[in-house]
Amino acid sequence: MRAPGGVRRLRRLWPRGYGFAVGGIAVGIAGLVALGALAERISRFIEGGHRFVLGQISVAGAGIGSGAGFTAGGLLPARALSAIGGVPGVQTVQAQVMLPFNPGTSELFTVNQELVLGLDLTVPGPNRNYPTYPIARGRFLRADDRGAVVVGADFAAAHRLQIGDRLRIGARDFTVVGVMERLLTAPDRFALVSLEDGRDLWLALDPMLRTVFAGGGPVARADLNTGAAVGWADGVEPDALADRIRREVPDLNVATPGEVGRQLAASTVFFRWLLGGVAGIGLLIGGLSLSNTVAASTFERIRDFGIRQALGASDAALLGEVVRESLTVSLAGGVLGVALAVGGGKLADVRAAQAGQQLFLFTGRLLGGVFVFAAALGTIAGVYATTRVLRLPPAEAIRRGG
Amino acid sequence: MAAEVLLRAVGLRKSFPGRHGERVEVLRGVDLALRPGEQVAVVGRSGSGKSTLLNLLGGLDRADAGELWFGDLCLTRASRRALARFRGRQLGFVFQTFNLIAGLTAWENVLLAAHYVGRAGDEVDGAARALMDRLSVAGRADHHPSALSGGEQQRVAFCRAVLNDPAIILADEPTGNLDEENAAVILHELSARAGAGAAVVLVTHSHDLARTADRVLHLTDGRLADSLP
Repeated sequence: MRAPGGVRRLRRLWPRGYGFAVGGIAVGIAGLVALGALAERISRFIEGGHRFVLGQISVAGAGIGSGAGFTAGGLLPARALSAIGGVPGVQTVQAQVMLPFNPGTSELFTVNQELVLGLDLTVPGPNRNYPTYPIARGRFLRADDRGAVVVGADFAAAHRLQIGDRLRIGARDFTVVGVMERLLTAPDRFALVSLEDGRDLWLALDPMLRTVFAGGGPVARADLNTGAAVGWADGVEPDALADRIRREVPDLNVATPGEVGRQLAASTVFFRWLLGGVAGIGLLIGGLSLSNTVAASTFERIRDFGIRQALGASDAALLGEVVRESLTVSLAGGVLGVALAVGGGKLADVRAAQAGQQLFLFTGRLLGGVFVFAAALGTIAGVYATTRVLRLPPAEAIRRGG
Repeated sequence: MAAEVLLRAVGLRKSFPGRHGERVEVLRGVDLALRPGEQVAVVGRSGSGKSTLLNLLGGLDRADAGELWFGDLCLTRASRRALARFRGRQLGFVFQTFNLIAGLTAWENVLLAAHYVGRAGDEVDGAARALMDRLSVAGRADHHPSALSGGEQQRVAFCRAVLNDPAIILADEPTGNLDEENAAVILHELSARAGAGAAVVLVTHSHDLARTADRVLHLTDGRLADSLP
């Protein structure tokens, strides 16, 4: 004879015979989490871009230019930089040279293009949202650095770079002095060098610029800038300041943060719809799998319900049991599904990291949302199925389930 | 003076949909009065509506017409909650096919009856132990129904049916799937329960079995006819 306490124990019973249901739910949840993590990754990339462009006013010289600056345009000469610095409200002007790391890459393939960014390190970082680039290993560049490079996390992974390694850019070797933290946005694929090194690289890469520069014309070395990042003083409205720069300094292409933000939003509208679609498909797959499995498991117990009613179970008692079991089964399936998705995603990312990519981003809000979703939908499905079963007289439930 | 009527059925009618959408009337006005300590056998040919009658008496199905009273409680008009309370506290149902819950052990199946009426603790455990001991299934308490023989399953089901000391026991062919030895155990227990004051309704094909009852009711053409055992 077994020990006493059986009735109390009944309340704690793990719902037996639910292994298949938990497995079915886990598959659906794994799909939902994987698609959600893909969406989170893309979303973080877009948000990061927004944060970056909204943190500064990007300026280039008039014309179509040949660099790869944040703003299309031609050379931004030193006198223009100086004039911008004199506009009231401007706090910092950082000259920059931005070039493709691989100049042979077509502009058609620039979504994930690796870029070299030469920065004037004698001025503080002007970007309000990225005043410094967070460093994971090594150090950031110093004003007097030459031949030193700090690389983004994806860049480092793609080229298997460690601190002290040599990196060949164009025809020059650079020493890796730092690796940035993963930001999940554009700087992850940047190679940062000093402005002077950037100018040297640009000259080496562009025969036309070399010809112009060597001709003894009006172009001086200090004019070799593809653009500048402009920071504003506290209390200054950036779009208004951008308009003022445009009015007061001739021959500039000025991108106001608001305008660039709108352009970026327009250019990423496809991705936003894609994200919505991915999230919708994930919810549909996960939701259908979960609700179907829980409802089917409940309908399978139709005879059980009839017997329990014959023993005196009230509707409330049965609903309570179903809610408890649905929650247990849904959350167990949720945990297993999340484990499957995270495990599989991490494995895939190990592989993707070799190409400098990260495919999945498992955020707290995603995982928390999935558990809430699983618990809510599982409970609703269980209660729905139970109320359907309870419409039958107990005798009919026993007969149908027999 | 006759004992007070425990369960009274007046003009119970029940029909089911037929193959072609017509209604097939199974019970056409059943009257029945059941008294404490009385053991009643209901006999009739297959399909005569014996199980349907038992389901109506136990509140497991709703009658199309007629009334069913348990004391002052009209079961045909009772709320679902009141019906559940009646089934849990006043009724013990013994099924021909045992109807144990597959996911629970024999012990858990027995205690389920107490669980739904809010009984718990050492007193219930002791009663369950004593019952299972008396019906020789105590040694099988930790086994699931699939590991029990038919006789063992019916004895466990009987323990579950009587754990709450119901006033009424409804037994639907309780020995139909049992050998003689197990059938004798169940019949002896039913008689003992009737002796202790419970009203027992036994549905059976067997006239031998029916003869053990105080009264035998023949269900013919949807109506009950009284006869001596």
